[in-house]
Amino acid sequence: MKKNKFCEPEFRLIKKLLLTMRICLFFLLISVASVYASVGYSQNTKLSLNLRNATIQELIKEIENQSEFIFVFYDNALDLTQRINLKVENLPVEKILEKALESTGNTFAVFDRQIVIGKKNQTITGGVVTGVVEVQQKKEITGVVLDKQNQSIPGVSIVIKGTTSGTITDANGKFRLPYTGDAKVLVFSFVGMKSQEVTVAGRNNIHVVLEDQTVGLDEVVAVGYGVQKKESVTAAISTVNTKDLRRSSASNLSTALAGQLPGLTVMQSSGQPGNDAVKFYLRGVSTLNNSSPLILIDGVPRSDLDKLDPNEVASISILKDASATAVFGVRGANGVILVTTRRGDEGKSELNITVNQSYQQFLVHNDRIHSWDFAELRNQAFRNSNPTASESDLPFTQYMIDKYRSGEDRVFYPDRDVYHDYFRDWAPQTRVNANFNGGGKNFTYFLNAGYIGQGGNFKTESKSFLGYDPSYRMDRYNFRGNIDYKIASNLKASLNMATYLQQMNTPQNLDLFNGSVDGMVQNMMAYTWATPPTDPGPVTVAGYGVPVNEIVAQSGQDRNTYGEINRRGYSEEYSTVLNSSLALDWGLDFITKGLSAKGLVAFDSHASTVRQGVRSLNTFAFSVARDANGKSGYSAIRDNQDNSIRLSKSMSTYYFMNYQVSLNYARKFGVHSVTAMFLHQRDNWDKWAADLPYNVIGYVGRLTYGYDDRYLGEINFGYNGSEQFAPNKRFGSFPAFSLGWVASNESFLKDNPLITHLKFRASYGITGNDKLGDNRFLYQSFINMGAGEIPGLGLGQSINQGRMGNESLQWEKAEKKNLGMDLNLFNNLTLTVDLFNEHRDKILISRSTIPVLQGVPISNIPKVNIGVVDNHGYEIELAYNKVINPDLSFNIKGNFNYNKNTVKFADEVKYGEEYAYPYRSTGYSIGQKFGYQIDYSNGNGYVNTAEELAALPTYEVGGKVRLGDFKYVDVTKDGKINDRDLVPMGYPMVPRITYGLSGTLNYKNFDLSFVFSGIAQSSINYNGWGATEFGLVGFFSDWHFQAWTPERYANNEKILYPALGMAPGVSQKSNNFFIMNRSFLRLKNIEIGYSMPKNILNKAGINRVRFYANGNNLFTWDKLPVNTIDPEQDESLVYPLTKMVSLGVNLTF
Amino acid sequence: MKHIIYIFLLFIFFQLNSCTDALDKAPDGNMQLDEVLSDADKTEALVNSLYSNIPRKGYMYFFFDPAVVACCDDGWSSEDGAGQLVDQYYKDNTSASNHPMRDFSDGHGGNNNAYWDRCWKQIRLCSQFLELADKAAMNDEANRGRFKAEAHVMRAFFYMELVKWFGKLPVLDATVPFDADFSKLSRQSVYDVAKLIVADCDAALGESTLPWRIDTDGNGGRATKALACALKSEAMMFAASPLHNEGKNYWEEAYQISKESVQQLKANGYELFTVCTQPNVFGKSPAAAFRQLVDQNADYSGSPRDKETIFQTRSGGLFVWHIGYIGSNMANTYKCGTCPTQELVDAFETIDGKPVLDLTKPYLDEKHLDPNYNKANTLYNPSDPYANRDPRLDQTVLHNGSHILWDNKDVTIQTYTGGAHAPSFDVTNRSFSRTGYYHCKMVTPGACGTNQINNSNWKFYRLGETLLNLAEVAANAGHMEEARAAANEVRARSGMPTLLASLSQEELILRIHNERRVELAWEENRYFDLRRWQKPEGDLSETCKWLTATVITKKADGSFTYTRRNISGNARGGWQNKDLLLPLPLTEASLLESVTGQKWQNQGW
Repeated sequence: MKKNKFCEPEFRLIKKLLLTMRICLFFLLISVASVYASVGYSQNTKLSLNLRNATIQELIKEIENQSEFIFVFYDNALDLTQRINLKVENLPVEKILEKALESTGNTFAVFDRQIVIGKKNQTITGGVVTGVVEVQQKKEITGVVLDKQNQSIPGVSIVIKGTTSGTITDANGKFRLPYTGDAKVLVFSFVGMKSQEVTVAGRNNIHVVLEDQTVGLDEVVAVGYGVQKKESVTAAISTVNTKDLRRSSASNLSTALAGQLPGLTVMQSSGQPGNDAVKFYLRGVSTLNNSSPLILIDGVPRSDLDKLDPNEVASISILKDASATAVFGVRGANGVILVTTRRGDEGKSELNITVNQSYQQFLVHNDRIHSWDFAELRNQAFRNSNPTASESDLPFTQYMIDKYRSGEDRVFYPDRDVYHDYFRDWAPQTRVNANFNGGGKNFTYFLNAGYIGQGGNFKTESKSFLGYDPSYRMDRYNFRGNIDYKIASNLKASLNMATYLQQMNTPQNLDLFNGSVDGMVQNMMAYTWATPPTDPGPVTVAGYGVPVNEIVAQSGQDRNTYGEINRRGYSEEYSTVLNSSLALDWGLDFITKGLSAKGLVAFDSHASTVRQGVRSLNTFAFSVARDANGKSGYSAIRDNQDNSIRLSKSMSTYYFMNYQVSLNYARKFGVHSVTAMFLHQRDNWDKWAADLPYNVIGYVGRLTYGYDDRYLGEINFGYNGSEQFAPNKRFGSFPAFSLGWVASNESFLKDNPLITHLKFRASYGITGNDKLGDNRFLYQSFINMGAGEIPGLGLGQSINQGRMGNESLQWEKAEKKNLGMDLNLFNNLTLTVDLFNEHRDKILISRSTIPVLQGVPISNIPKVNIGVVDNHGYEIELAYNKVINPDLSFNIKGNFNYNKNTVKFADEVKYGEEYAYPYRSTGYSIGQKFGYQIDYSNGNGYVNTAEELAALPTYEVGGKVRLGDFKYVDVTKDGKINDRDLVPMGYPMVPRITYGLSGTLNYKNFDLSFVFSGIAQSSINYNGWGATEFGLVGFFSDWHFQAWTPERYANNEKILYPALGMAPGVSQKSNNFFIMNRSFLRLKNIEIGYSMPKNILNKAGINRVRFYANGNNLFTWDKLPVNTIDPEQDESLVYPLTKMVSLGVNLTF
Repeated sequence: MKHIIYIFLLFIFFQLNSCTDALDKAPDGNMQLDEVLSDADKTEALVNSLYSNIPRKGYMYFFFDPAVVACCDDGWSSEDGAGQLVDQYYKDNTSASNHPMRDFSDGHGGNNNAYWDRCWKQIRLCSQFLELADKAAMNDEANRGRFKAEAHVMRAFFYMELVKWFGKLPVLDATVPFDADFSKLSRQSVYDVAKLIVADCDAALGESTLPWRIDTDGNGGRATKALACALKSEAMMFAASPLHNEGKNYWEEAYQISKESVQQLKANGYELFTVCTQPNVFGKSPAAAFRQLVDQNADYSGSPRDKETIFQTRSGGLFVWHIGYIGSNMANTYKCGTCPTQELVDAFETIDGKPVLDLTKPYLDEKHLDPNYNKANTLYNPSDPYANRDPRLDQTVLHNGSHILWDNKDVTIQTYTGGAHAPSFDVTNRSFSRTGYYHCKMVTPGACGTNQINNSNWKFYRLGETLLNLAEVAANAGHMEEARAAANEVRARSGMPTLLASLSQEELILRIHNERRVELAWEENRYFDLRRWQKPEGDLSETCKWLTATVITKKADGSFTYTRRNISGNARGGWQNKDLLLPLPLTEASLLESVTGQKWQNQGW
């Protein structure tokens, strides 16, 4: 193999990096402009004053009233009682102060909104007044100011109450406040944050956590079609904020949710660039149909969660109980995930740039097996199945094994490191993000641009060699602008525009895989795994009379992966997504106070183009001499094949539209607070296939009442119509009721220092699920024409009597109950507990108790709403925040979730008396596995001796029992092992237990964060690729070395696997060996960051520079006995999940 | 400002207005049955649907392997390590809930799975058409009778397919609503089913508008009176066979029906294909016509070349030269598929019409390693086993020393150890035979990568088979003369001498059984024949449990020695008593058992 072939892709990557750098530069330029703009607050803020004989103190107060300026000065720096006269019109503050302080002997400096006043001979820099030489007794208070996420806040003003002396915090949120005299109480204030008074009480070191203005009593959470004050929420809702999501360097936002939200199970099932599929389960599964939750991005159902850049997201909430989801009516039963993207903050102007370079590696890979070991294991397998086999029958003769060992002919007796033939150890990922955030009183904006480039782990040949690029890679560009504009004092317009451009490059998948990338990946992984290290290849070498560098098919096949990924062509998929919405919010206080109206139109479009270049290739077979007389060589399997690329292209587009209009009311009458909402909404969307557009309409209502912030009541109501049902069955109502009691607001708990917050919640309601599978209009009977067998009959057409309709078809009905408690102790320990119970009724299922012989195919018999599933469980979330000292603070958050479902009715056929278990699903959890129980009574579960073999019951499970196979329990005691002996074993595939633990630690300029995520009580039947030894011509991993052999048994050695075989036998059945416990705990993410000290940065106009190193999926603790499969995967033949290490820098201007 | 408010109000108005009919989107292109029946073309399309789900058989099983052949004693598939259909079957990986022969499909459109579901669906469609035909619009009133006759024949056809796999069946001659009361339903005897088949076929034979032969290509594959005759003959033969007769003797009845069928077929232009029309392709062997018949599609015309084929599928012939022929890494081949066993080779008589082995007990040992040579045979030489054999051997089997044409070059088959086509006993090797033989019967001579010729569409019924049905039922019913005559007619075509009148009834029956094996090899009859010849308590341990290959060693002087060996050291699956019939799908049997309180499942499952 010529080395230089592999160089080209790397070079391409560098060019890509340069391009993204240029993009960054562009943003940098804009940001510099915006820095000037921010300095300009003082210039742009024009004030008019008319003061006669006023004191300086009154002047300061007046300026503070009219603007956002905050004054900072030392007591003795300024004579506040000095009187001045001043009349100015529309002047910037600098000019005003110049005039006012002309006579006072003071100087000043403006830092954004801070105005520092010093004595004439002082220099004022960076917001800290220096050069003060105090003769008086010097006292000093130091400390740190953090926000709730434990991020330091620079620029917080600290004033000693009752005085005007104070300071502001530096870049790391630290302050040093020298003072004289008495300082009893400090006042901390910062724009956008709640001011806080702190009693000094003799301390000289104080740390303070400031809360957002919206935090606390005013904190709101996203709920269905709106927001609600957190304090008044009575439903089961959990939220994760952007900071916790942005830490993960995973390419997919969905994967970053793992372990973060109590009640949400996130399982990533593939690591394929641009296509890493993630499954969500909200409180497990409660239906036999589609159980995926409804996902809304900014209030609109959207499927682009995978494509969102974590930097665009402000928060993600999950709505779990009926009270939260009833408003979604017919689509709410599986729970709802609400994604809110970021918006501009008033009075802020900030540019964030993040550049991140990662390298990823497959989490699992094949063990390195040497060719001679492979040959011997294969022979061992052969002998186990054919004890009388002669040497010449064996797959590998001793002559061959000696050749493999000696290494004298590496062309035909190689020792291939197959894994490294096909994969590189580390694949790069580059990520760049820039976002602006800011605005004034009337106009706020959030702009985001992101790029992610992911290179695949497959090694591919270079474009210069092939003429095309077959590599696996994905480039995605994200752009978003979220803009809010106050047209008038009571009218606000909000525009969201987001686009995603994604380019995915893979080898061609048209030929053999019908355009399915998944199919190709599955096949490719299989072939890659199952290339034996004894196979010559992947390409022909000179000297054997055939063309050089042609593909050598792997044993027993007519192709190999190398040929498939390199020589067959390429596929380029371009997809563009536009998500847009325009909302108008109109205050109707002129009608009645507290009334407002809102309208929203959303339009999304998706388009994708796939261009495939396909070519055929020549393939050669090899033959390897089995003895000294034989001759090794190549022979053509396919030759003279067309070598030119054939191009084809396919395109698809689809759209989604959503309209919402609503009337909202919120008002407080004394101790009574009332809110109401009425909304009409309509969705209309189109899908990929030639199909009619889809339509859903709904009416939504919400009424909340709170008495004295102690007693809360809420009614939610959804009235939906879906075209999937017959006209008289289309609309359904979904009501939910909930109550809350804020015990901590009762007089007996009011100022309790221990229990700072305590709320009890209860809800009950009905929601629906209209996800009835891919078939639409199930209420109608279908008779269609299709091509017939006989061309001469009926114009060659035939009548397909398809599905019969069911007029009384309905949606699934979920009856949900939830009990919850929110507790906060000492203001820093939070506990949330939710218990839930769900009864899912009217699940639409196929009848399975109708005999086939009546002749209507069962699939055409109308489905009926008769399935019943129960589900119950709980979630616990515990969080703890602590600031130990200004340099050291941490928080830690953990959650634990349990759910268990039971199929109550599935119209299942009951097997006869002779079956140990007459049902396969009724009475069990969804996806219950059945298998043969291994009889461990002899200690190891294997058939160890000829006596044991002779004494076995008759095996009717397929294949002959051999020594070293599993002993199965004859459950029915009929002397036979067959499918009547199957017993339920293991847990369902969807985990019953999910848990997560995350935390952050800040020490001086360093920060550390981590997220662990785990599942338990989940089983999977890994009884194929990656586990067994059979892939194509044999696949061995480490544990097969310790397979049962008579010698190992006799020597009392460890036995990890049944006796090897050439093909699946009685041992490779569904049994409690192969039904594996897939519980795992994974360090999903860990990040260490360092923020540069602010004083270095000021000159460059940079607020913050943070370097960080991040690791994704670095460690996994699992119970699988094999290391070739990752427990998170549902199947073994997928693009493996990856672990990733990255380095990045985050700049804030 | 005002404008915005107006737009806003307008928007709300538009919203509330537009939603009233938003949900009334009916799917396009949907119709109801009345519409179908009122349109003559659609009525014909409804008739066309009666021909759906016809199995394609032959090479259309999993990965183009002739699975039914591979699972009888004629063949052994080199897919035996691939974990798929035959592999599972060979390993007895069969149960009522999952049976490879019944359930396995690779989606190639062969319809070769889910027989229970497919056939019952078609039976209902036939019954439904018979119930609706009188109401249906017709392009030509004469069609009504023909269409009804076709529905009768096709109902018989699908019942026959079910009987072959499953045995006894409930006899439903009318549609049943899916939510009917099934508690009174029961499995009736194969004889009862055969009676329904005969009645359906007789109804069709009585219809003047139903033709005997299809003479235009566009109508190829439609039912004919000839098909009705073939079905009657086969159905009664099954009903009379030991596995199905429930202790009763139906041979005479079967004989009468079979005799009448053959007479009618011959009277209406059906005859054996005896003269090869393309000797340049098929050679000058006495069996060249036999080879041409099975390799080429029957033609649809008033005076067809092939007047023997009674019913063939419309499509399904495919390239097999690279996946079901010589394999052995020959240029552009992929695998060799199913190969003939030594047992099949042993079945071919010598040219003098004498069996090679003693048919009463062909092998002296359980594992077939010790052949019981027919002492009366003086022509057979175990050191030169392929000389002086029935000409059909060379047209069915490639053996050491056979010649084939490959890429315009003559290739001599070398199956001796070290030869280019030597067998491999590594189950993962799909390119080489396990038996020492390769199959050639369905492959047109000369087919290869540079001469890609489809094999024939599957021939369900041909006169040669119906004649052998007659021979078998006549011999069993004691009509020796007619039995011999029917068999001799088939043998004569390939240059084999007549069966002697001196044969006893038992001897004649064995010879006719053997004749079926030789003449109908690779045509999927053997699998069912072996089963129906067993009594219900019998099994296939003598035929299908142990199978042999021939290992040939080339000596220094260029001569060969021939050794028999078992292909596998383990018994092959599929020989037990329960394997005489397929299990009903587990859920179906369980369901019907719980509804009717009777046993529905086949014995042993």
